[in-house]
Amino acid sequence: MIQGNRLRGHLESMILAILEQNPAHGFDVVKRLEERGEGVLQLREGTIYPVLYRMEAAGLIRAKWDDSKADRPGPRRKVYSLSRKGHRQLAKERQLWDQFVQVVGNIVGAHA
Amino acid sequence: MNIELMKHVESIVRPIHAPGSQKLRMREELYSQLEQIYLEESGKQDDPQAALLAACERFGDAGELRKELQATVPAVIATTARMDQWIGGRRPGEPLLRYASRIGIRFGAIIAVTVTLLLLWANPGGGQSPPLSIAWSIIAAAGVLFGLNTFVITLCGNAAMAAIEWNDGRMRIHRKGQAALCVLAVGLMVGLSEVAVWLGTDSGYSLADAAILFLEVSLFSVVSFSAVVGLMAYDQRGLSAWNELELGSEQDRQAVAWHA
Repeated sequence: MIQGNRLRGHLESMILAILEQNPAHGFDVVKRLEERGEGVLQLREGTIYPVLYRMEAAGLIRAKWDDSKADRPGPRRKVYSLSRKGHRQLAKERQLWDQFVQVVGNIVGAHA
Repeated sequence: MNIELMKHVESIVRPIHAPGSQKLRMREELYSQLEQIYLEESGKQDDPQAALLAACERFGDAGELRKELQATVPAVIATTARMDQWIGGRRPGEPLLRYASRIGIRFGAIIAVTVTLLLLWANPGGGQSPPLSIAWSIIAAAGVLFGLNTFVITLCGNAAMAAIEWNDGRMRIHRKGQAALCVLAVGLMVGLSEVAVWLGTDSGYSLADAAILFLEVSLFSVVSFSAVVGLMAYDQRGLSAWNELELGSEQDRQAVAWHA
């Protein structure tokens, strides 16, 4: 299992990648992360919000109230989508990630 | 809405130093998330209490989440919110009369100290300062008048806001008499205070002048007070359900410990 602490530093990039496909509510973001993590990722589900708020403040994502209550009762939710800055950031993160995987893979993956 | 879920969310959000609108957003989003988790857990197990515990467990540690949420509020805004809470915040369960008295005394004291400092600053050597008895009279009058005005405005402002309710996003005054009385009381108080200050500082005005001043100031106060109450009611919509929640002793203890 990969738990929250080990994801620090990567969670923002992962959320950017999730939101690149479609806008989503916080709950859906967690669900999609878990789906794409193939059961290995384990997140404390409430902790997604501080990250989303930080990313919104940094202009990486946009949030819009979803006032449609057709599918569910209860309070309003925000729908998060990627901003232009978020798209650029994601491209940069992907480049860095490829580099990281290559370099670390060469070192850690090399058997003696 | 599920009260137990609301309480869990409120125990996380209540101690956070942030503007009301930002905290309301946190409450709504966290609640929505927790409710969906709870519904999933309820589908897995029959016992609602077990489902609640499992949902809270999946949601994450309340203290950790609170710290992370607080970290998303910029320091300047958090400090402003903290000051705002310290100066004018109402304690949970505090009766309105006591709250208004506390705020009135606090503001009266702040003004009295400020006037004292201004008098000292204007006449540091004391050579041309007014006689001590007059200086004390000015300080006392400023403190009492300001404190009294703050008391009346706090009392009437809260009572007027309690007379307003929101239905499907529309504002409705459901206790019109109470609201009108509050607005009139504020107009009367501020108008009389202004006249008292005027007559106290300059004896060259007639009663007719005082009456005109009273009417002008009262009218202005009535209009501005009504506008401010309307804006505050708009800002506070949706908050009352959360503010009225009484947290359990353990949740209160955690919230207070973190607050300190």
